[in-house]
Amino acid sequence: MNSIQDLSENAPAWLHGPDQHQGVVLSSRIRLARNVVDLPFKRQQESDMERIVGQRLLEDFKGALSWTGMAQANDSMQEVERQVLMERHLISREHVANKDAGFTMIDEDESIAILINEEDHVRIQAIAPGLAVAQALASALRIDRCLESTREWAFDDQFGYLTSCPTNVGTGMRAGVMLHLPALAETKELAKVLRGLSKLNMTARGQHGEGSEARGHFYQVSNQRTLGLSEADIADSLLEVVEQIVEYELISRESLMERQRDLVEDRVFRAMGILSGARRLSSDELIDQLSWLRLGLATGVIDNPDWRTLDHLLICGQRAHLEVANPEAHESSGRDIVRAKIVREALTATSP
Amino acid sequence: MLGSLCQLCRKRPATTHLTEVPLHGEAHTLHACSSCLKAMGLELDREPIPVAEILDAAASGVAPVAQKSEPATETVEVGKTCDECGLRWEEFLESNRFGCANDYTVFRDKVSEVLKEIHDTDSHVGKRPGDGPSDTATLEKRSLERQLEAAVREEHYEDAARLRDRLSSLEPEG
Repeated sequence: MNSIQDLSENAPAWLHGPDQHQGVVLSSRIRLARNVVDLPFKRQQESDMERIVGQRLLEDFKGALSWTGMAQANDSMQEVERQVLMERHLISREHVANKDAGFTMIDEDESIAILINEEDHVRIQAIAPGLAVAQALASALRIDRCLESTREWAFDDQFGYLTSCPTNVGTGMRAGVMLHLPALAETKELAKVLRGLSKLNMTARGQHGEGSEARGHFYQVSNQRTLGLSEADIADSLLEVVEQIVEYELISRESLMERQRDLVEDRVFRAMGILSGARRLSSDELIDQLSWLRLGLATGVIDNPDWRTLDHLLICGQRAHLEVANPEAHESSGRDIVRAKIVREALTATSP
Repeated sequence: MLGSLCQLCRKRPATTHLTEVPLHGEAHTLHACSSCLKAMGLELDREPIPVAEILDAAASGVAPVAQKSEPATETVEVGKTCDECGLRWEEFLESNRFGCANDYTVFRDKVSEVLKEIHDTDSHVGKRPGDGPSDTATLEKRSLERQLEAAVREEHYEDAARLRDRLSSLEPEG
């Protein structure tokens, strides 16, 4: 496994360009919540007991999976390193804060993450590039089946998999797709789409999940219902909804380009100007401008920088990534300078 | 790995353990739950708690606290408590978190209501522990087939080709 320092300098493998849907779909993910039978659920206050139990789970899971990836106690990482993992969508905000009893397993290509002692004893997470909900589901279920050989999960014939929070009970499954929806936002159609989602028992959140802001028009659309539907049904209905949103975004892009091409060009070239010239860049400004460059690239307004560079900056321009990769980025003014510098360098490197 | 039971109600787990060491004679330890202490009007930080006295009363059956008359204003039933984690339903309503898997059994009817509110149903239809690999393969196959149909419908032929390859790799060899 690469060190977190190495990770912080590269975008994850599952984030790789626009191979489908013109960059509208970034990634698909599945999360399964599981608890060990006969153990009390995780408490607000972490206890020595939970740490001991967590350590044993970690050891047994490593054995069952013949694990070669990273597997460590959260307190063996610095907080900023755990934040790097969060910025890469590998662990939750809650797990970053979970210092004493939490454990984290991440495989080499960052497509599987297993969080121990998050809100539930075990959270299995699988991530796949693009619109590949089925692929992520299959990997998560494979891991689940393997871990099942080490512990009996808390399961009830009527209620299904039992979880700490009743919103996760049943399948324990959350399926999510990360989308970039700048044209829907620009044409003011987005609010309508988001309202429609709740009627379908789906929800849209900012890219770091619950409570995070949808900066740069990146949204994670996911199911809310976890009970009364099979895993495949949840994946299917999410896929169906996402396909419609993608279609809607692509139509909005076309109509935006027909009616207001000059506006899009103006915003894209301004974004280019800011990112290639700025000497200080906040992370919000970076995401906002990267959003325009992505739209510019998808609509053919620009053909440079490439998708790989934009993905790289989207991930590695975040606060914790910069801090871990650059000693001078520890304080916020220094960080904005470092951010502007790596963005400038990345853009010059790819300019024709 | 249960803690000791409250010596007063003999139902809930003891959360408070008080030891009284008298000048003469042997020490007495009282294991009690917070509900019982509260019902007796005892507050730890207010006064020393007469441990030996309470134990005597409990032993002679004079003070089974849970049955003792409660103040008339308190209408909340001293309802069921999970015998494993000690959770009361009111505590669940406050935090929206369960304390252990057993809560789902202890409060089954109430849990059903809550789940119907959240999920429109209270019955699981998905995978069960021990479902074999074939089930996973079926799931993946069904989902891939749907994606393939959609790709063809929307004339994304490159995606369709890739999905078809993945599907055929799932088919048994030969």
